[in-house]
Amino acid sequence: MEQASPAILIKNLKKSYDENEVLKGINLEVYPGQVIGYIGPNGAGKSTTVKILTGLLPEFEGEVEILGQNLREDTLQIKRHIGYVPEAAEMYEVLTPMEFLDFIGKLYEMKEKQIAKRAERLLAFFDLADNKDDRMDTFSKGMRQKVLLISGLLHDPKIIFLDEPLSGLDANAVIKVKNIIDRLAQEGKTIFYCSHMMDVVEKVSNRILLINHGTIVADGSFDELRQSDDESLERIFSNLTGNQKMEDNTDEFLESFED
Amino acid sequence: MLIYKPIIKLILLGKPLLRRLGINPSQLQTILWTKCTVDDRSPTAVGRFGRAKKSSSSWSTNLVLVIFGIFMALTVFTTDDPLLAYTIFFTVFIVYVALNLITNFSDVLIDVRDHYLIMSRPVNDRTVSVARILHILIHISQLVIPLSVPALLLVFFQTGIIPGVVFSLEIIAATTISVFCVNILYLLLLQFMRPEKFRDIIAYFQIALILIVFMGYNFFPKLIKIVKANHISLTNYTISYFLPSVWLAGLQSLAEGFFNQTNYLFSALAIITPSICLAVVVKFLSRNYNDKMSLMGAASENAKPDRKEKRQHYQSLADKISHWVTSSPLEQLGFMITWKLTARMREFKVRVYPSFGFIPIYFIYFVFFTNDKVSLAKRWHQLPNTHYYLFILYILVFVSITLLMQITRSKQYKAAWIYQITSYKKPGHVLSGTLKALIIKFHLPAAAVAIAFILYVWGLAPALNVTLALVLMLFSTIVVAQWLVTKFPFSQPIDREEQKGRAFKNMLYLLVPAALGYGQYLISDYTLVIEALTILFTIGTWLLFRDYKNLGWDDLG
Repeated sequence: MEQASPAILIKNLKKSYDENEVLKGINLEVYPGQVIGYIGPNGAGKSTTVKILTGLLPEFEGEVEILGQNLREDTLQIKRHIGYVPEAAEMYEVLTPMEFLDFIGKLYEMKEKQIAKRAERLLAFFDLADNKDDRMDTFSKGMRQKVLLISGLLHDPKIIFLDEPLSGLDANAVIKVKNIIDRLAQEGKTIFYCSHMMDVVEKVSNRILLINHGTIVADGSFDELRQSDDESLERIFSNLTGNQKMEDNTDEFLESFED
Repeated sequence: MLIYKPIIKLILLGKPLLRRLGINPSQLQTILWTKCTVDDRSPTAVGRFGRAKKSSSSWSTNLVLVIFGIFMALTVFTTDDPLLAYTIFFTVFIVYVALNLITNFSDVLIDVRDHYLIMSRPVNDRTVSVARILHILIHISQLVIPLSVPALLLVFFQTGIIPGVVFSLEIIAATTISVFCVNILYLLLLQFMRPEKFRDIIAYFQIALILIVFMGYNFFPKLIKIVKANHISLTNYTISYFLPSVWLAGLQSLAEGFFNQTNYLFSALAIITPSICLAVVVKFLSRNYNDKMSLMGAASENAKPDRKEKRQHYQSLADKISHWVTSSPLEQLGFMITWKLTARMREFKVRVYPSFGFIPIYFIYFVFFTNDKVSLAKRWHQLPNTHYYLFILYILVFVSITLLMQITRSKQYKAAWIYQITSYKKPGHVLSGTLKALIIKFHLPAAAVAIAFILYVWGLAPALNVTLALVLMLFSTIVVAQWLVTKFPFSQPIDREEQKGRAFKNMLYLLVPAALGYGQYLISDYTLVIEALTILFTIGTWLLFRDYKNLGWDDLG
């Protein structure tokens, strides 16, 4: 699978907020067609990595190249080829999906007709054809998430960052999204999938990156990472992030109720 | 807010210029269009001016602005010295617009949604910044227009077309300067502060604005009289060379035919400054501002739970008091939750704290500024012979009513579900805890200050009357609580429909303390009656409080 030029190249990436070092030197090469399952405990530095890679956090140490271009110098060019679906992001909910997607499309300088055509098809794909001209403030969480997903894919990006993209989606939509991820990878797109849902990550990604305390502690396919055939990703995760004594902890939990 | 459509079209006429400045016109149009549409449709504070258009409250909002505008317009004709007159006008204008920007438009200036929705797209910093500034200008125009129309008409009719046109351009320049100053202020604050702290600071600015506007309404006419009487010449003061409002006034004087060197200098400054402001924002501040915004978005997510309440001492004090004054765990709970939330809920502070500021303002205004014929010093001397201490105490009653009106309201009212799913018989205990917390935290300190002042001016002479007034304050607090506070603290949405009628209702509630105060004034010399009433109302207060504490679920409705 590995080809000559990586889609994402990270060298010694560091980032601090005040004195708190969130990323402590990350090195990474990601190739087209890879679906990266990016996992780690809360506060490990997942969101920070994604924000740097999507150009939202312009200040960082180290070198980042995306699609062969330097992130610091060619931010705008890079952003054109990136799709980002943030976790449960707020939207302008008083707009309709069509208006919202029109807005997003125009920020990518797409033509109005092209935006409308794609938006209508994508909305229909996610069963939102009937709601395309309703204001989103009446939408359920899952419906909003679908629109957010579409807004990240509308401009046909080469690299897609998905942060908990399944949150709020019903089972049917989840299947659709999983299938999309497969197809997009086959088309040579790079997908960066961040989630806490280990069973999903296990299934959708062909390479798993585990980050803990700002460093990558595991990198490989699910099969490479597990030590025995019946070990789940959940187990690998808790082994590597220092939570081996889960069973013992439950005793402690029950003891809390003893007066 | 249909006004935004032509304005955006107008802006886009300058496409070549925009491109040369490194701005992408079509992206600019998209952002402006979307953000204005969003504001127009949002019923929130951001879009208040927009939404209000369809409702009756917009008329009252605009009417208030026009009235304020008329006040301001009158300043233009206070003196024969146009430089001074216009300086007053533009100073008031710039300060008012700037404070409004800080308070009502902080959501526009810092919309966290923009962070994800716009910044992750291929839009350059200049486009984003210019879009933000234009968005603010479009927004603020709804405030600026009603505010400046009276003055504009007056200038047109009094001085002619050319000064009129120049004046309208100066309004735009003054608005730009305000926007610029607020931008700088935000950048400075963001430099030193965490986002959450920053929002707290804005809340205090909001409180200041309410007080300044309130003072403005009360003292402005007096101030003009003083200025008129004293023939002040601005050019004698060095500081006036540094004030943008003086420069604008200089330009206006020039347009009205007052040719002299200082006016030439001021005019030059007035013309150059706004363009410099815009250039600085576009060229230097945009990158910085957007970076700060990113950090803000990032910080709010990576927020570690490090916002510990460091005031341990303070809390333990509240804890101690709560154990002294409450008689059941439920009541203690009501006390503590009210004590803590009133200190930490920003919107509660904004709605309640200014009313405490009204007490001295009202007092000073009514005591010292209602009669021009007697000098201030003489009034101060005569104060001990008056019954004005009753006035102070009954404004306090008014404030306590305001407090009760706000205590059940919150933006986060949904969090009150917790009261509904837990099981207990007497929700009245929670409410009585709330009431005790309010009385101890707000009424008591305010009353202490008032009593100290009364002791200083009047001595011990009015002690009986003061006692009765305080008892009546508690009594009316409980009466009003039984009527207004039959819901859990912070459990009700801030109802917009209700807010519209608030001014009128406030007037009604004002009548209660006014009637009580006047009643006590009439009987204030009959010691026996005062004593009897004090005892009677103390018993009444106690009985009512007992009832209130025993409210059951049925009473909460």
